[in-house]
Amino acid sequence: MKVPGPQNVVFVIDDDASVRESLGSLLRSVGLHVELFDSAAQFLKAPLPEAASCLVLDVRLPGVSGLDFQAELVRNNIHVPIIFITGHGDIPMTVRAMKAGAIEFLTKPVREQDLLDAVQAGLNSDRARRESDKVMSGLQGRYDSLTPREKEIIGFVASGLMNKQIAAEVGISEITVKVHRGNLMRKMGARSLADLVRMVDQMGLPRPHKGTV
Amino acid sequence: MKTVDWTGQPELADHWRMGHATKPSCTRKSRVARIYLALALPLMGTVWDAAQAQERIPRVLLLYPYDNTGAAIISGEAARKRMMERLDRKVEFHTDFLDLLRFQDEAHRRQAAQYLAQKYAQTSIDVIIALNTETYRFVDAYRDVFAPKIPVVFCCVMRSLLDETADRPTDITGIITDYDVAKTLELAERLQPTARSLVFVSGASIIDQVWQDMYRRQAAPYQSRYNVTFLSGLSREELFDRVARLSRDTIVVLGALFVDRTGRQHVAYELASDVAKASSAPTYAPIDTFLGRGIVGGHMGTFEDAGVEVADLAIEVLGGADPRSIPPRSSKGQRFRVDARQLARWGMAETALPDDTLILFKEPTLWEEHRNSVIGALAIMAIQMALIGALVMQIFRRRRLEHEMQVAQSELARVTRVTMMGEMTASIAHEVNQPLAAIVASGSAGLRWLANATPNIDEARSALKRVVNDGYRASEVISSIRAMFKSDAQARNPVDVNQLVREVLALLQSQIQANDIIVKTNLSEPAPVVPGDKVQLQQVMLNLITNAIEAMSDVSGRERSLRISTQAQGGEVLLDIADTGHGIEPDHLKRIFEAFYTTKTHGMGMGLSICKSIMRAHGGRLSASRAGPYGSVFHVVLTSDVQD
Repeated sequence: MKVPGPQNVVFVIDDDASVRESLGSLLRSVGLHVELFDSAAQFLKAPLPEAASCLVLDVRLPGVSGLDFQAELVRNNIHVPIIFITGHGDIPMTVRAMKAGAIEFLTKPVREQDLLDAVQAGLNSDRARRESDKVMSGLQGRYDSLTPREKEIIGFVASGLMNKQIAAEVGISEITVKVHRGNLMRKMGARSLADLVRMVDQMGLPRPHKGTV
Repeated sequence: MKTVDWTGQPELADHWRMGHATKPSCTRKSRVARIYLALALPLMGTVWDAAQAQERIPRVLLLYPYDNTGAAIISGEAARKRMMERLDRKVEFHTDFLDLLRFQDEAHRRQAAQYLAQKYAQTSIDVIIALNTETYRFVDAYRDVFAPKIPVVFCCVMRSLLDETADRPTDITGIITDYDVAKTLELAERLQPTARSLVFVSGASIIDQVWQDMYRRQAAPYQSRYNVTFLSGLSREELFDRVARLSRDTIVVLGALFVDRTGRQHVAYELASDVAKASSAPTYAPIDTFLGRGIVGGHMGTFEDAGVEVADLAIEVLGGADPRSIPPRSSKGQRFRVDARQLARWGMAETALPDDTLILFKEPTLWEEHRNSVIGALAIMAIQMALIGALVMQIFRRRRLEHEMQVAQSELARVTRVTMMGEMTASIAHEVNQPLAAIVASGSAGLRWLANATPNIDEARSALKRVVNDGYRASEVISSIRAMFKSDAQARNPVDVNQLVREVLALLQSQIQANDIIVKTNLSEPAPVVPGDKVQLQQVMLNLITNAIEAMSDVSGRERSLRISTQAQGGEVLLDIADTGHGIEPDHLKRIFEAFYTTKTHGMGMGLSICKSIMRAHGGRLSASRAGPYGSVFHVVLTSDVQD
């Protein structure tokens, strides 16, 4: 969403208009922003807002089952916490849903508090994920701005190698290493070596062991 | 030689005259003829072979006393038949009626004898059968004139006459009829034990006189016990008048009644019949021909039996037996004979009769008279009954089978319905659970809207509205499920066809949505109403719509649409259910309504056949056809006329 949207959005997908609306009303009554869809297809067509969100989904959906839809979202790298609602959930269905990342599996008629708790948990989880995603995407952007040589030596720096050692490893002069080092520390926004080491680990970049003290 | 005799007219006339004059000359003449014949035969021997001579057919002369009305006719005819039969028809009969009643003078008798002599002069008679007493008397007197040496057998000659004739010829034999007055009276006394008067009736002719004489003799022993009267020589009318005035307690014995006082000649049994009818007292007679014509009965043989007996005697004589060696004998079979109708007329009991009495003219019972017809009719009736029984049994069996089939069918329908419901349990649970879930959620929401710092009344109101609506919805679902499980056999209530479609669609909502099917309805207004069993019609709808849904379940690349339309037309309601599935092959189209025919992998093949039978039970029709570019249409036609 380009428009500055609400903080939280709860999506409700249910083919039964009455159920859909009553769930919506219930969620709105606690101040949540709710968007209603009568099918999975309709949901996929709608633009997703940049806000903490969660999905309340009926297992029985027209056209496609809720569980299959869950799998489809995962494949498409859409990370939204799902709360399943079912009229007749059995254990295998529940297990499958939970394994695939559902945060809750509720049976109709749903206890309001269970639903509200689950929705809250879903929103929190999504919010946390979104923040971590945000951090990650900053780091990645800074890393992307490095020159190939800088990217080459960042691992050695993070490994604690001295300039002379790095120069020997890469086969350039110590002075050049020192310039690159200063540049990459600045580009990455690392205030100290320790800061840089944490960033590299966060990004999961390799840290060559060679010359590690 | 024959020609000489037959053509010699003057000679014949002369002979006739001669016959009149003297008996001997006539006799001589015939003797001459015989000698002539005896001489001629050997002479002709060279021409006629012996076998032909031996095969000469015997000639029998039947002599009747009166005309063709008397009892002798009966005996004579019986004798003739008997001889023809026994002699294998190789016998020739000559017949002469002597008319001794109409011409009672002796001259007539003499002339008759001479006539006979002349008549048979050239014809050799082998035996003469003299019928009845009068003939016997005539033959006895004039035998020498017309039949010297020709053997004579007689029939039905009154015993009393033979007994009286002391010098009767010994070369004549025959059958005697007893005319047993004593035994006849014995019968009468048994039947009328209290009778004190005895009346003998006879005619005025000389023959009747013979009877009267006989009766007088036989009545002698009864004179002491009875007041005996002889009624004879009266006119017909006088006779009727007399017998009509007799006391009931009188025994009347009838004799011969040939001629009355006025000289009127009668057929004896006819006059006897009239007398018997006119009589105010029971009448009896020892005469066979009177029986059955008004007399109660008597002791008698029949003239027919006597005829047969005399025939046998004649054959014996023809065979060469000497009449002299055969004494005259009584006719066999003389016995008590009574007329059952007369017993009834006079109120006489059969128990009073002598043991060996033959009861004649007994009114045959329906059984006796029509025994064969009755047996036949009974047999036919029995066969008919059996047939009817068999048919009825068959009808009952068929009814029973039909009933069993109906029961089985409705049971099958119920089972199918239940099975269907079983398959749809999940769907139903869902259908019920949905409104409940909505109610709970709406209720909770409503509470929360009201509990907020600034209660949102509008939101709370709409939440409550939803609660109410969903409550109704839940109730509808439940009642339609209930209706589905009910199994009334033949309920006929007005069914709104449009509503039927809507209800079944509601019931199948989940399946419809699960298969991404678009439902298009075109329901006519006003809603058509048909009489019927709602549950059964629901089942038809369920079946047809489920089939349509299944037909489209694996269709891709085109719209899955279910089109349902209703239309009232004349007295009928047309309901079409069309799908855009794969359609039905033309081959299958013909057979899909047959039981156990299915195109589905897991189908029983009962659905459509049950649908069809339900439609038939409703007086409706069900058919299918291919639709548009693809898919099929099921046509339901229901009659909207109210049936009784």
